[in-house]
Amino acid sequence: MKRPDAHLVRIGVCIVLFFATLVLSFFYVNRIQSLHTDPDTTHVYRYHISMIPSGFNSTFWERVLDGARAEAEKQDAYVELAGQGFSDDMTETELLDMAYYSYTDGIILYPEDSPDVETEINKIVESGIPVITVGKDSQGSHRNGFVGVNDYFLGQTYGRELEKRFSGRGNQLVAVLYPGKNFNAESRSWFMQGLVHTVERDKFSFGNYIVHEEDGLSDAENLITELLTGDGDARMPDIILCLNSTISDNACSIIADRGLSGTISVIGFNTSEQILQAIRSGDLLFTVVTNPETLGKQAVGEVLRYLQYHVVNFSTNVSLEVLDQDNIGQLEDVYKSEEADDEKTALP
Amino acid sequence: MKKLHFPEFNRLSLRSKLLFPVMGVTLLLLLLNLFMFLGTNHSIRNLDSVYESSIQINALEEATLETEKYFTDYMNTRSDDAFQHFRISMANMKEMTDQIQAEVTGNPASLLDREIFYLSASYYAMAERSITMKQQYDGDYRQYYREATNIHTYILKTLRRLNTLRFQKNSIRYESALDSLQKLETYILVVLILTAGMEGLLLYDFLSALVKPLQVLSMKAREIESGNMDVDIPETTAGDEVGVLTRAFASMMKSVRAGIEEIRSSAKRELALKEKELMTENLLKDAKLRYYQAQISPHFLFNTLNAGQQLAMMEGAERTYIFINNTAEFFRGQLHGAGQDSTIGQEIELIDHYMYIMNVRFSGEYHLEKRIQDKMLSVRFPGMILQPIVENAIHYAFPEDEDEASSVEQEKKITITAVPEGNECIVSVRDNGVGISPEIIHEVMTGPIETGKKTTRRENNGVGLKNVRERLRMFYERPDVFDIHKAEDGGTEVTIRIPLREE
Repeated sequence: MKRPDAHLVRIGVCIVLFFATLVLSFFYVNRIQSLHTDPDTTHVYRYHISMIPSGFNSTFWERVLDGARAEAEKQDAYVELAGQGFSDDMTETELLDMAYYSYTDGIILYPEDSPDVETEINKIVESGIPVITVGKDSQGSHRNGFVGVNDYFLGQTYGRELEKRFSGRGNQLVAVLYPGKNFNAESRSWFMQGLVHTVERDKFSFGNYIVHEEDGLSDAENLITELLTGDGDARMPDIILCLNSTISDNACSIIADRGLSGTISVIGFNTSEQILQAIRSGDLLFTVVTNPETLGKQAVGEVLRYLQYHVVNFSTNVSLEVLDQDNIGQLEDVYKSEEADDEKTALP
Repeated sequence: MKKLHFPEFNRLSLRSKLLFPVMGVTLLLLLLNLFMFLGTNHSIRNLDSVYESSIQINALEEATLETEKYFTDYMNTRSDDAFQHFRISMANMKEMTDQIQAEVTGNPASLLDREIFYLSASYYAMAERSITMKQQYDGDYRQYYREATNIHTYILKTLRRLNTLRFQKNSIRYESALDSLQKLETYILVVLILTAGMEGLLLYDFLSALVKPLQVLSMKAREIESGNMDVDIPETTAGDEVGVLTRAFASMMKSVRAGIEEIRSSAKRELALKEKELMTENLLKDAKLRYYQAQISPHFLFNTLNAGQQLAMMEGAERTYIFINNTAEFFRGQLHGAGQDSTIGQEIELIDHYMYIMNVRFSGEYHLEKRIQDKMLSVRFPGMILQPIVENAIHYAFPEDEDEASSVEQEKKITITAVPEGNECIVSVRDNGVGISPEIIHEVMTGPIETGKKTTRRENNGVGLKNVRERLRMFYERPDVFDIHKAEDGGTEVTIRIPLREE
């Protein structure tokens, strides 16, 4: 076989290397230039939905948003968290006003108890923009629909669990601790009705206590301590039923600190890291949870149904689940949350 | 290893061949530079445009504030001036907001853009309505004014939020763009250095191949310069100037070698010819001599002279006896000296015999004086040199004709000297006769030897001396061996310079 001229081989190698350099340079420069391109700018959605949650630094609402967006994506809609990142805190009324004037296609709202909010909701609904309340209803407004936990059904869920776990132990005194911000009188009434109608009257006695919040601080700890120390002849409750995660966390801590874990049972609502830990350790008997993604998904579904068919459910009940030591392993990842939050039960 | 040939490329001129790799390399470097320039330029433009969006947002914010200011002014004062300014500033603001893309995408910044667009539209509508109601003196204008003001506040808040968002993104983009630009610069530098190195090697390779024939030619030229005419010029098929030069050089060398060979042959032929000529002349002379000698048989001559000597002795004619003896010796000496080497001593002896004969003939008119160092007597000398000179002196220094009779009334004297001078022996034959004219001197020193021509003695002036001149020059191989000139005392002197050999 004839050997090629070394001179020509060198020329050939140099030319190949040169063009390889050119090609690599082209890709390298292209890659660098592509770094400056913003992602996700190509798809344009058909619908725009504004979501106004209860607070922005919330894992619960982040998951509600995730569920809402996932559902919206299927139907060419995009859910925006209204007011996020604004340096000045805006009121809910202002956020609603802004959503109205920015021609949003629909609003998902956790309504505050405020006449201004109700007025604003009415104005928006009258303009033809659907407003769906989530987590908490705004009964005084003309909102189109509600998605959340029904207080009566919530009471029933707890009642069934109480019956299942505590019947045969004699009369059990249940102290129900309501977060005042989320449970007004009507909510409490509906909840209690659901609870009482589910359990056998003789087996359980109920005490209702309202936990107040001021400047972000809850008086749950004081209340629970008072309950445990007793008030005169008042006996210590056998069961403490906490209707938000903050109260649940407080109750678990105090019971554990006082070594009353076997004596007093604590029941919680929704999840936090401490609640999950308490369930594993047995300090908390069970908790009732709503799936936030399901909440978001169902809320968006209602908005889009209105936009497409002009029909909407007046009230949509989100299913509840009971999380205890038996099923925490399976459901822990679903309901895992990093911090406590004030989830809501709804008015019927 | 067989080399690949490109006939088309071989036919190109040297300039074209040189231009080809240089232009190729330059073009390649230019391409690379252009490409890198475009990339860098794009990155720089990206850098420049990074904060463009922030500048636009700031401009819109200013326009919004200005519009609200003039709107409020008008609502308070109803001034035409405020109204005009409001219109202008709102038109300006509209122009900016009309350029906003109001699409629903997943990008937070573009969602804020959308909000600004629609909030602005709501603001324009609300402001217009408020102004209309104000102009119509409708008291409800305040409500719309408040709404417009609220919307204006939302716009500002959204703008600021968008500005913050874009600024954060732009800062990251700027850092990223700057970083990528720096990396690009380094990359470009590395690539350029590597490419320049690579192309430098290519160019060196190419040019070396082009220049090699020239180097070979130069080397061969040096060899020729040093005297080696047998260099082998390599064959080439190149059509460029180097190829032409190489072929021309080879052709020239071939011609030069042929020429040299021709000259050598010619010189050889000439030399041979000359040798032949000389030999012929010598043979001729020899033949002449032999002829003369043949005419007089030496045996007969000497037998005759012996008989004469005996007769003289018998008759008691002592002087006759001596005369015949001298004559015999003279002829013996001539015969012996013709064509053979002799010595100065032998030549002098011959002259003695000759002078005796002449003095007998001319009653002792001639006087020979000899001043010869003993050492010089044995110096080698060609035969038949001095005697002809003396004979010449007797015949021409002292003419027989009364017309040419010299005024010399003194004794006719011939002086022969032989003295060493340095590494030479100077032999001189001088007479005190009539002298010699410059013309004859010239004729003797440079004239050709004429053979076969009968002349009188007078006409034949210097013929013997020419023979002597030539034989001396041939014998000693030097042109200045023989000289003839007028002597100081008016006579003629013949000088022979003989190199002395170390014995």
